[in-house]
Amino acid sequence: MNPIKHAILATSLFGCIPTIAGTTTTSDTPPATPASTATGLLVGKFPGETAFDKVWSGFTLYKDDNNPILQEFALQGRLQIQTAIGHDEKGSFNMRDYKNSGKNENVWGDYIEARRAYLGFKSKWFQNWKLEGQIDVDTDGLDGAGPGRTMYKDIYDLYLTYAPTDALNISLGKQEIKLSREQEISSKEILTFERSLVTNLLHPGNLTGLWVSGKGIDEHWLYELGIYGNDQVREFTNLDGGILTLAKIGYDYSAQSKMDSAIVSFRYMHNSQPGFQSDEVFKNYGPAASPAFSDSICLSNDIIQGRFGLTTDVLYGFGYHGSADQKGVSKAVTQSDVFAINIIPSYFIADGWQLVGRLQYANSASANGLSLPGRYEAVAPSTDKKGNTYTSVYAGINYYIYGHKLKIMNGIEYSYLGGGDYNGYTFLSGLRLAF
Amino acid sequence: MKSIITFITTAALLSIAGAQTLSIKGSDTLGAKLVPQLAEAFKAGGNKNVKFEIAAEGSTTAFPALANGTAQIGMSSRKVKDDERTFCRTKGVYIKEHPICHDMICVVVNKNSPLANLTKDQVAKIFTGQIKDWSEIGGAPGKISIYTRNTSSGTYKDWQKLAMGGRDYPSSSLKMAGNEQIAQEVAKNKNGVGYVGLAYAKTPGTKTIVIDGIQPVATNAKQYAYARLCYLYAPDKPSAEAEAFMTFVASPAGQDIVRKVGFIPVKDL
Repeated sequence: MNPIKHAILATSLFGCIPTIAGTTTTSDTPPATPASTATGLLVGKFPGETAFDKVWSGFTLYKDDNNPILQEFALQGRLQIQTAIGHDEKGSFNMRDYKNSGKNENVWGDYIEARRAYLGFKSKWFQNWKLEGQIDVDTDGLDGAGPGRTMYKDIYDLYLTYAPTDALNISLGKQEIKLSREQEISSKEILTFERSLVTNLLHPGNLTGLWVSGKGIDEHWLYELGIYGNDQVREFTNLDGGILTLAKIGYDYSAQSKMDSAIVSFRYMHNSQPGFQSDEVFKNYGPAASPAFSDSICLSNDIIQGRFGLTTDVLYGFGYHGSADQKGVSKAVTQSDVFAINIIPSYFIADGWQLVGRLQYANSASANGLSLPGRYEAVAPSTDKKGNTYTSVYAGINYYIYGHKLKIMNGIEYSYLGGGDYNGYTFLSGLRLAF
Repeated sequence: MKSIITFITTAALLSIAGAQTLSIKGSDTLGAKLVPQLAEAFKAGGNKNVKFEIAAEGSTTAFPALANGTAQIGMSSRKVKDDERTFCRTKGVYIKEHPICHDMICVVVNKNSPLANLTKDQVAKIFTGQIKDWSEIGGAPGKISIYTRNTSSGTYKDWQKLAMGGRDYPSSSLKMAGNEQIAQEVAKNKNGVGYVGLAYAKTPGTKTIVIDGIQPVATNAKQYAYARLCYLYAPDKPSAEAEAFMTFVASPAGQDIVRKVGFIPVKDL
């Protein structure tokens, strides 16, 4: 690991210093202590109650609610590092196998993957406008190793939002597309290391488009409607890969259920050119192909009550059979329909300690409709990595040092690929930092 | 009956114990007048050993304080947000909601303003900046000065939701730290308009506006457009002092104080 990587790791661990309570005034006759939040430039002031609050407040470079032009400007980003080791009936596998499978740019040394490294900003302008974005950072390019390698990999997201009301937000730009509830939960806050097999299989990536969303309509209803260029590219769409549309409707039944939070939602996604893959290739960026599904649907339920949480997704993808333009060449694409149910319960057992489970069951209509997930079962010694059923059970424990902003995750996942050749388990461990 | 026995027992136990500090943080609407008076009554009711530490800096401040353990009770004039609850959960704090009172948010203008009535539509247009001069709605000519709460305030968000259709304030609006500051600025500015909780509606130099023919007084709370519930939030397993205090707040004696300060008891609506 080079010195820059050491510095990044040290920075991420810097947050692990002990919490220091803030000072407050005590009196028998309590005074009101109103204060303005118009704190202006925060650099060097680091307000907050705990040491973590103080450190994280440093990412807010400017905040002044009374400025008519710019109300807030803050840095945002995340660094997620993890390692994995697994075993199936044919033998063991680890991060070195993953590295040697063509993912060497992501792996530090032989055992740690920089799973996500994003850096960007978020800002609020003219009260109703928000501009935010992040780049995908090539951590292996930080030291300039290899010709043409830089820290810039691609634009992860960058969009402008006009938000006149909670019920109407209009956004233009590039964002991650979210078909399922599991996908909708930011990688800053997901409880497992990786999302489920079919969630990833149906995921069309980060696309450029226009979308409207809202919540709190008639107290309970929420929605999203978006139209996007279907080509996954380094920056913004070339509009040469078809169109992807996504519609979502949801209902918040927290009040009726008397739970802390309870939301049911339904999403529908249509892809006009399944399987399309851009021919744009860079030193440290290669575009992924669009999922080979013409239509996909997902019914989700998400509840939280006290220590308990439960996220459930039921997904169905309508497979595509035909030709697709892939890197400028027309290729035959054959994908059968897939069905999946993912159930993710969680429970806080003690201060900051959370048990997490996940049960996945996926089924495809044809013999080879499902493939083992790239992280990390696909690098197992097994020979046949395609099948028609996939069953997986995950058990993990997360420790929250500073909420989702700094946490440690550990988990073990057992999976079985029916119709294929995998029957094994993977142990995962990682650290996640976000600001 | 059970709650009264619990309250008396807890009060008795607290009275023989050493001094205990009860830290309460959050809403200015609740923390500037109501909760201090409830605290005084609680102490006078046999809990002299409980020292109160109250910080009223906006509802947004309640939840980080609960999560960090620097407050045992959070005050909020709005419901907790999902991300606030999540942060508390990751810190091992599973918060429970305790409605404490209803509040009415009153539109206040300078006492010399000729205006006495407004419609909800006019209020929305004033606070979103669509109506810029009092003469547009029958007032004396003068550019309207809008005074709002700051963004850490629950009232700031509630007013957007209740009165402004969720739209945002104009960039020219002036953000104030509390209800008292808004009322004081409106009292000094003949073109000023702002909103305050019912408990602050009688500030000298200001007057309240009738909305769609409904006077903002407690007896009209059911018909009034801008009424809301206010809450105390506490961990699911509160300290003995916190539990005793919340039991007192919910008791007839506590709800009498709620009424006297100018709020509306929970069961009255």
